[in-house]
Amino acid sequence: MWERILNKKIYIITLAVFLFQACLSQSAFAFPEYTSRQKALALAAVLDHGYFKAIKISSVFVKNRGKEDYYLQAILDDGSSRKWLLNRIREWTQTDELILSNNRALVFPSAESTDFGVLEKNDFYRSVLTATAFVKTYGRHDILEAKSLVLGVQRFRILEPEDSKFLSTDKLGDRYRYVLELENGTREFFTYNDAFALLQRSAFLAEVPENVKVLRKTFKVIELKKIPLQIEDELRDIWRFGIEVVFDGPIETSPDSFPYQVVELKLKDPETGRYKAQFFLQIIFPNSEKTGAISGFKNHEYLRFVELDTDVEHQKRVILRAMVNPDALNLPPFIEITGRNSIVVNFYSSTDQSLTQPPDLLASRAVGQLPRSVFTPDQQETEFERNYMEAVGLIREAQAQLNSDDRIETYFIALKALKQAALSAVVDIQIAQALKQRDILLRTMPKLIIRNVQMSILALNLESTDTKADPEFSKKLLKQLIHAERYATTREQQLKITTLRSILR
Amino acid sequence: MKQFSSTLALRLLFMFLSATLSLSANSGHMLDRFELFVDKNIPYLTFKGFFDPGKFPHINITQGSSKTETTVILPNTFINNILLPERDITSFALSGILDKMSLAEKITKTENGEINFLVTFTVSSKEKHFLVLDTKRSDSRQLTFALQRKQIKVVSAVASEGMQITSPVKAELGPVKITPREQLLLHPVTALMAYRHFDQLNVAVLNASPNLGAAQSFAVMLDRKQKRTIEKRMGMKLNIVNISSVREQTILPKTKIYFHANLLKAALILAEVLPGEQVLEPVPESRNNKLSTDVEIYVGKNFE
Repeated sequence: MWERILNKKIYIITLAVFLFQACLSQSAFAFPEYTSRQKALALAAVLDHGYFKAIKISSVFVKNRGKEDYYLQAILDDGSSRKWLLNRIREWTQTDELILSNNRALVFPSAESTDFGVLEKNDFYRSVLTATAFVKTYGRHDILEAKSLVLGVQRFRILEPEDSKFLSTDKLGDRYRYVLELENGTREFFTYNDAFALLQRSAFLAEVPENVKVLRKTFKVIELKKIPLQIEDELRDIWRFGIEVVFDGPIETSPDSFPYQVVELKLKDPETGRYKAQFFLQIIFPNSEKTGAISGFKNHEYLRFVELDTDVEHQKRVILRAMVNPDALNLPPFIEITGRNSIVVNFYSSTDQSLTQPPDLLASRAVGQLPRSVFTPDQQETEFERNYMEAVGLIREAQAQLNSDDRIETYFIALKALKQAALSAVVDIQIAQALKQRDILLRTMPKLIIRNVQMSILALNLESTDTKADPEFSKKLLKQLIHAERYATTREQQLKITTLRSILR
Repeated sequence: MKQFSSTLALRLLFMFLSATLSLSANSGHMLDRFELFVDKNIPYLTFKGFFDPGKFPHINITQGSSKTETTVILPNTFINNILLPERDITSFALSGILDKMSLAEKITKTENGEINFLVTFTVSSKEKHFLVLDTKRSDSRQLTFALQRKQIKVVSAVASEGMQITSPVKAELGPVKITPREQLLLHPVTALMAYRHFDQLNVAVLNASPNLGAAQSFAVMLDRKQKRTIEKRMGMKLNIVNISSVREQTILPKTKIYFHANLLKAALILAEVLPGEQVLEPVPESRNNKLSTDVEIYVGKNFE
């Protein structure tokens, strides 16, 4: 075996493979050496009268290799003439070997394209020094991607040798130059590229618009509370429970700033010694802090080991974490901001597997690019959408009503709205969804009506044995029973309806 | 013999790496046909065909020689010569908006041996219309440009030369306005009433690992080894629609599965079946409209 390992050929092959990979990765991701004529001309004008390695640039010309590939030729003050390829220009700007005149900096926002920009450093300083708030927009692949928080500005500084990121670079190889200290205790480090992009985005606000809330301090978590299980949707048998995260003050941001993610971890089973996948549901709270020990819970419905942790990778973020069984997680969590300085994370449970299983409907056959939702992608409200949203609104309104008689009446109105929606549908998915919701309602209503009539008769009996029931009320209940009879699915329901009708008569 | 086998292995390895590289780098668009239509007084020019939404940011729109002319460069694009044989179009279904449109396909070979292909089309409008890429109406099957009357100011690196760098992205700072439709879609229970179940899951596999062929290997593993298990558990057909590398050269420590709001369950099943550790996140709101797939898997550094 050792003979084989020490065999020279193995070394040669390994080296060759490594070199091939290195070459291929270079050609695939390297910054281009040449650019278009238009960009080359513009870049030449920008570089004119700048400095290359402390030597003044006398003039810059545009040259080409083929029809499309342009590069620059620079004449320096020492009389030398140099061929400047685009990748080299980028490298020199990153290491400050190439400096523009008039306190400007050349930036290449993309590592793949020769598009460039010129950062007017004086404009940047003026903008950042007069700013009272900074609009922090989260980058790609962050859980808060493209979301923005408006944070109060405390101090701006140019990086100095004692700063942690002095002379260090970002993933594009650009040096960090500036640091912005914010009132919530976070620090933002900027490269010239960042500064250029932030100026473009108007991320520094000298005056904050009236409707914008500036976050000047973090939200500090005080405690976690359990919210017990309760019915959310009687039609689909969906139950809701929650965890309330109580903070030290009002939460001045929208619920969409608190996203969730599911993280899979392979943990070693202490009994078997094997690695087993465990899933953790995490709710992220930006601009938040955990200042003391917050007790979590070992169990809460299908959540296990509920705890609040500080995010070690991001500044001022806390994570509400719970272990979940992926089979129990049918619906995503829903965030609600309350008026009592807290955020409620709602979780849903249901034993109805049809919620996530594809139905055997012709409309569900995915031939080509069928729409995924009942709504048209162009954000225009159609007649169907108006009717359908009205029906959904009525169903939700009914579910919140405590009086079961009112609830049934609202369901009747929702049925009418669903009929209207079905009549105005223009594609299969719309009519399929309208009819599906109608059928769910019709399936549940006999049960609800029977219970309502039973409770109404019981209430009348309890109130008084002498007084007769209001004939209008009886008529209404009878009407409900007629409806229930039409859609009763079991023999037991039919029998109950007949008995109740005879009692009411 | 030993020497021969090692040389052969080396050659095969080189061929495999080259093939992987070409697969990951050479994706693009194909123009089949175009349509011009008016939607709420805004005219739209839509190209139908096959598109890579990840390459939309590379589309370059510039003003032509006159104020009524706009030139659009679509990199990595071919024209389907059978379906779209004409190069100069002067008759439009919707009269009064466009005067002329000319298409030009350019295929060049660089000194490195790489093939560059692009399509340039120039549109002359009767009024002073300017073309703006409409990402909301663009996906893997169509590419839409809105014809706006007033020219949108582009952010320029060097204003005098009019070079376009990026479009300015201004964050919405005020309180978020949620429409009734969004409200309905945001709540998990009401969203159940808005989405349909379907029997095919369109998956894109993108490379976000330092290993060049990771997306390809991942897709092969998904398609050949795990497909049946996944399909059986999800009750949906698994359809890999795209395999490519990530444009911004992002390296993710863990494989990330982005899913649409109604597809948490499907994403969980995928994560359970796939080897290694995964992170699952709903598709960010900013990318929601651009995504033509149901699930996007970014293969991370942890995939071996």
